[in-house]
Amino acid sequence: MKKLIVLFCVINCVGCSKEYLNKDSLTQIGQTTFWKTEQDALLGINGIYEALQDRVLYSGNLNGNAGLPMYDNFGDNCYNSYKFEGPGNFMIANIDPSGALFSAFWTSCYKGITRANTAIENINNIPAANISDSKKQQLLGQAYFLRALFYMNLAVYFKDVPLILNVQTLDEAYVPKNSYQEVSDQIISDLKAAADVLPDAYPAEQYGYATKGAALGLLARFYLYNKDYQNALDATTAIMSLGYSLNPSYAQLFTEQGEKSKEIIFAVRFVQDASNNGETFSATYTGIPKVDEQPMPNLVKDYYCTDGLPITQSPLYSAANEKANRDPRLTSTIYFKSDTFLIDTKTVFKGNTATKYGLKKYIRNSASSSGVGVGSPGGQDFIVLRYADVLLMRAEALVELNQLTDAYALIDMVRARVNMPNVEDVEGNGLSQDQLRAIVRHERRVELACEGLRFFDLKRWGLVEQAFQTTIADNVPGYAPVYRGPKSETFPIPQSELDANTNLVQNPDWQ
Amino acid sequence: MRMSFFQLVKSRLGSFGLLLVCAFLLLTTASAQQNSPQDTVITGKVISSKDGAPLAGVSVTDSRNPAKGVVTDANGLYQIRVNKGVKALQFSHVGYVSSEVAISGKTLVNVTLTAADAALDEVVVVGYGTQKKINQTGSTETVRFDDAVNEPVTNTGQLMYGKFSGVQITQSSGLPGADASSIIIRGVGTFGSTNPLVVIDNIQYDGLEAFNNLAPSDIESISVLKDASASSIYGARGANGVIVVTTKKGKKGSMKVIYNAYTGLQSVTVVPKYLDAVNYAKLKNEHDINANGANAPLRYTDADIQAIADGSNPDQYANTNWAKEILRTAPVQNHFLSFSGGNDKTTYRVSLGYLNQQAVVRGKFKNERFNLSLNLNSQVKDWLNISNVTNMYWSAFKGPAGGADAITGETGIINQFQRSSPTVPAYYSNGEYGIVDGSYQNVNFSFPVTNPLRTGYLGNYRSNDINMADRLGVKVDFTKSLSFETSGSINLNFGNTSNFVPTSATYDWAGNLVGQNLVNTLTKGNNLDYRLLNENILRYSKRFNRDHDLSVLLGHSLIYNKSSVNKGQVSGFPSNSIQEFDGGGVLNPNVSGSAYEVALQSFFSRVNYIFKGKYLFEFNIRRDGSSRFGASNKYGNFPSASAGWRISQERFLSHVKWISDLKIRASWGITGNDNIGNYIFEQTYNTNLDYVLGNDVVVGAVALTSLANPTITWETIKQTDVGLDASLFRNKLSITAGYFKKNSYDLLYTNFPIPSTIGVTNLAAQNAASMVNSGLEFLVNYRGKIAKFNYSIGGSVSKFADNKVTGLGEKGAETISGETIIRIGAPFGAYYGYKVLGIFQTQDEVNNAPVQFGSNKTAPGDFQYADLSGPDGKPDGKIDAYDRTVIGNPFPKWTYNFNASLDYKGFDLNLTFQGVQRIDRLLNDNGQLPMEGDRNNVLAYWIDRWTVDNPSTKLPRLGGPKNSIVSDFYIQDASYLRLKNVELGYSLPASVTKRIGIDLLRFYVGGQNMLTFTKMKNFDPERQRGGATDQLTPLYKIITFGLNVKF
Repeated sequence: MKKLIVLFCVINCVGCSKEYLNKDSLTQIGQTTFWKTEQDALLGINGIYEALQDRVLYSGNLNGNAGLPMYDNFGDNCYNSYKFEGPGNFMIANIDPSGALFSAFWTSCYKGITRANTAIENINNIPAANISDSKKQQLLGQAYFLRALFYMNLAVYFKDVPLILNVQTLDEAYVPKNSYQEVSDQIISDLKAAADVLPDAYPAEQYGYATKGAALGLLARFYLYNKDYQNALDATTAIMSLGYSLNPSYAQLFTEQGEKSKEIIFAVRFVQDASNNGETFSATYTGIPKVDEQPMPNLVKDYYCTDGLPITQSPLYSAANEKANRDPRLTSTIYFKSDTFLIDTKTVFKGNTATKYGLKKYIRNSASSSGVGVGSPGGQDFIVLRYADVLLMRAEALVELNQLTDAYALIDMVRARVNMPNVEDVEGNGLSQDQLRAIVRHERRVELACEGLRFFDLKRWGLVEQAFQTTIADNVPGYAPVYRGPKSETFPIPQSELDANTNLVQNPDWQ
Repeated sequence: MRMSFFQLVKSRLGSFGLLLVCAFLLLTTASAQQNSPQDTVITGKVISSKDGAPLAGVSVTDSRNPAKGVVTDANGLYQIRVNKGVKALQFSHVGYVSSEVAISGKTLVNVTLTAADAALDEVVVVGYGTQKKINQTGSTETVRFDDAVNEPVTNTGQLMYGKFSGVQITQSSGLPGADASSIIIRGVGTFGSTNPLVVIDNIQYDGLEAFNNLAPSDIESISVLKDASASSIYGARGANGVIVVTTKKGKKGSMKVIYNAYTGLQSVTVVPKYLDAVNYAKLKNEHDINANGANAPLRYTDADIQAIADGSNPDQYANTNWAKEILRTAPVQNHFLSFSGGNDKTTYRVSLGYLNQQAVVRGKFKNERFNLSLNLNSQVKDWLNISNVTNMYWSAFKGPAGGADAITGETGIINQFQRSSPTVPAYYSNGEYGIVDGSYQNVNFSFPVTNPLRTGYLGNYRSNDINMADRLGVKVDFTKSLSFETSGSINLNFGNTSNFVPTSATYDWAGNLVGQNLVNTLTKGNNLDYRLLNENILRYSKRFNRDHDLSVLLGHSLIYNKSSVNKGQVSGFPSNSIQEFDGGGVLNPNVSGSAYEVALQSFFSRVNYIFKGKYLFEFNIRRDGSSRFGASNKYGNFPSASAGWRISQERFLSHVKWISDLKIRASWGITGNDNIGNYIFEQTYNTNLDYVLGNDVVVGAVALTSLANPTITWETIKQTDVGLDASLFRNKLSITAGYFKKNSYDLLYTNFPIPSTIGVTNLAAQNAASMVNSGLEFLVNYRGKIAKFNYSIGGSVSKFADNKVTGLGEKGAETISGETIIRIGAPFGAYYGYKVLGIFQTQDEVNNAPVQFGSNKTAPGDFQYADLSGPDGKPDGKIDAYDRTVIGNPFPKWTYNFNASLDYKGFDLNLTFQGVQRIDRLLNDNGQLPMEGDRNNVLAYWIDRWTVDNPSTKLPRLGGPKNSIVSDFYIQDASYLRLKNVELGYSLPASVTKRIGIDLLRFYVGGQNMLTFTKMKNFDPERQRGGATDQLTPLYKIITFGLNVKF
């Protein structure tokens, strides 16, 4: 019996230990042990980039809330036939502030902003012994760039939004809105700060991180949106000398083969893996290409013929064979009936969409090299900013500043890549500001079609209402857009956000 | 000792080696007896007072030294060697009143034992022990299972049907290996898991798996601990009630062998009826016109419909009855073998079980289960008892790729066969699976169907779940009143899964490719979960001065649990026949996993005090410490108190002969729920993120993705219970009635809308919500005998008066998830949607009604919804989200059951009915909605939909804009009464079987779910709450033929 008693005591001593009931997570890092080294800082920066991969931001969606790659469905370029994804219902005025797209988009942007704020606060505090100052500045520059990108998406689509620049406690989170001007000033200051410290390029293994060019390009885009043409022009000037050039092939740029192109200034990176780094904007069904995003007839008509003339004027145009003799960008962007859209199965597009056209740009036309099907998440990078865009932004700024002479060459560069004739050869070289403005805007539409920038452009140009009318005129079965004034140009603050935070006030356009 | 024995058992797994082990132990302990010269030998015969027959197995002991004793043989004879000083012998036997007989120098002592009044001796199994039912002050119900009864059930939970009050048992799925029932004791008292704590042979389990996977024939008793008095001894784990299970032990006497077997056929309880192909095509067109206008492109031309009607082109225009193609009759069989016996010192029992069950849908689905149990008990010394219990199961499930997901869920076979278009053939004439019909590439392109027959046979899924539980107990009797028991338990659960998705392709009728999967993928996972438990219990029990019975229990326990999961995946195997890693797969490799550990330390105590055998008091307390909580909240206390008054023992009732026993009792106490997830208290960075850089290289990323709650603590339930136990007419009639009220508070709740501008949407759970449950329970049993006709009937009724959420915490918001709501004042997870006033018959009615969802498409034939509220809390002339309201209660108001068992001249009949009354179900899935989705068929009743020519007031038109949203139209009364079990048996007369050395030979035919009375059509009413319940594997009914042999 004595032995048993001893045994019993031994067993119980295990329980006496105070440590016995202290168990920490086996899979996550405790808060107090992070942000100590350069490696921590890199991981934290990667965490901000990770937010860009959200479906509702840059990886798009099929059967869910639309991501930014699908924003051409706002306006006249495309028809979002799965209306519940957001743009479709927005266009037919069947959406209110509780629309799921708004809260998902808002939430993802602030998720990224918080990660950037956390990085900025903590990287500054990493002991000098563990990270060099130049490295520190470079990482901070990326955080500024990314914060600006998230805020820009918020400012463009929601206008006045809360401007949060530090890590909050829950009690501090009940913030009111800031004005568009305040947010705008911060975006510009963040982008300038980023442009100052970011390198022109990274070592090959870090390809994909934000560069000086990315910061300047975004700055130009935002100045242009604010109609600050001189600053937009200056920002593009700085980019011109950074070594970017147009990709020789327009079509190849929007495939995985084009991901390292010198035309790309900033892209959100994706890879087809079993982890969560895939995207769905390039996914398609096998019976119909990209069924939820269908190019509109008015977009198809807007591409010139190869002689540089619109179809209404060109003798090369044939209504019976509408893709013949057209700007090559048309057939790089859009499938026509009888086109093969899945090359490995020789599947032919039957024209079985509501608009009769199928989306081609960015959409996969074969299973991946590792055999993953066309409907599964893919590894296509999404280009946020490319050199052709910069050239056309620069052209637009010049036109708006009435410095017309320099604009021609920029447009011609973009056209030359696809063997389209020069502006001077078709339209002449003594064009008025209005004429040249129309040419730049047209060029922008066909060059950047279905890349998620159309609504942004239409807003800047004040042409949203007109785009609704164009869309209605297309008379696509099952699609009847309704323009309802400012509500059709701006997103409402999500209802859930107003409910959670009574200090927020709805955007007046939506009150 | 434990480990070496354990290893021994392990090495002999699945063989009769276990039996050898037992025999060996028997021999060694038997030889340990000693003689001494001062002994005297006493002999005699023991007979029964009932019929004067000799009694075998009566324990005969020296009354002063109970450890020393013998048992009577088959003729009731005994021989015992005792010390010369011994004055009396103690005779005891189950079912008889123990008797102490003076020796008075005699060497021949014959004894007649009086049959005990069974009811007075009835024992209930409670936490850490047993209690006489008459002395019980808490609310516990115990059901014992007879040796011979072999209910033909596939899992243990089904043994509980019809036997308990206040317990809602629901079988929701008929999938082999996953057909267990949910068990809710006294209503839902938490927003989380409602599984009760399961204690099997003193080992605690999370979840019901270990319980359901016991071999039913191994079960000796199941107790349900319902009130706080009964369950607070389990403290922080007792809030959902406790199920205490004991398995059968060996008994003194010669070896008994039992063999039970049955084989059966399963078929679905209800076959849903869908539209045939012609009507499907017509209604599909009608739907599209209604939805998209008169000039809408139509899926089916008149020629197509003609082709369907005349069957002229069955490849493209078929008429497939998918229910018929998919549902089938499936076999089930079960075998069980046990050996038991023992001598005075040591008893043993070993058993083996085997179950083989296939699914009622076509496909590879099959589950096999192997059971093994070992019970050993040895009184090694007068003061030392060692016991060992081992329970093991191995459950092996096979199916097509996806496993259970291939059958259930959105893309599962069940959902797919219900929605699949009948115009697609099951097979094309070229032998390929039907995927599309001739119309699929029309301008309104439709998606291929997921041919459910193909799904059932595509690829491979295997899973193994192996569970080993072993408890070694060492009990020391210091004195007659004071004992100490220490025990060590290990519960080891190992599971592995293997899922192989082959390369494959689907084709249309002409052989054109429709879809393909170019790479095959193997995913394998394994999990190891082990739980170590050490319990040390001191028991003291003594009677003072005749009137004071005191018993005290003091305990300490330690639990350590670690769980880990590893998963790997790789694609691109050179052949679909290679389905293991290292077989050439090179594409997309991926590994993942998870791990956690939990430690608990507890102190607990129970004090029972009985004064004069009629005033009963009990106090329990448990102090639990858990690693799941932060420094400030490590420990919690869970006390309870109860009292009872046996009125029947009072003098004023002693002359009332028809009252055998009458007691009123009351209890109050606190229990906890620590099933709250791990590490909530600790703020961490999520390391499970990544991004892509360079040449498509994945790099790690870290971010804060949720906010911790450092003050997280237990969920708590305060429960009050009053009850009455009566035993009347010489214990023929027993009645139990009770009332309970459960107040749950500090319930975990997560829906605290926080500004998402903080960058994190996941706020850790807070102890914020509260809810109440109350109810009445009434249980009655009657045992009777008319000549040779024995019968017993019983039944229970439970009324759940009040399941109501009472609080969601400061800033806690209502949670609306699809079709349910968590709202203060409403039942938890009540159905939430619109109220339908009727169906618009004219455009004028539409125009005069409140605007329905701002839609200009509302037309005659559409539902008119009620304008109940608006942004200002008043009806606002608009139908929108503000007009939703609680439209149904997913919990029953009443459950009831009754059972009867009769036996007459070798025949026996057992019946169990189960009923549920006033329960709502939402049925708004495929087939029940007016043709939603691209390829969805509808149930046949939709032929009576509203049309201009058929202005229905019951069904809306097809294709209306808002006829499919959640509304009370889709709520059905799912009340039912079901003959859950029926069994008719015949045992050959003992006089016949004895001649061939058999104690019992019984044949039976049994049935489960054979009869159901319900208003519900097309689907089984016995289903879990929530939506999409018709995506689950349908319930089966089984007819079984069985055999019981005992010798």
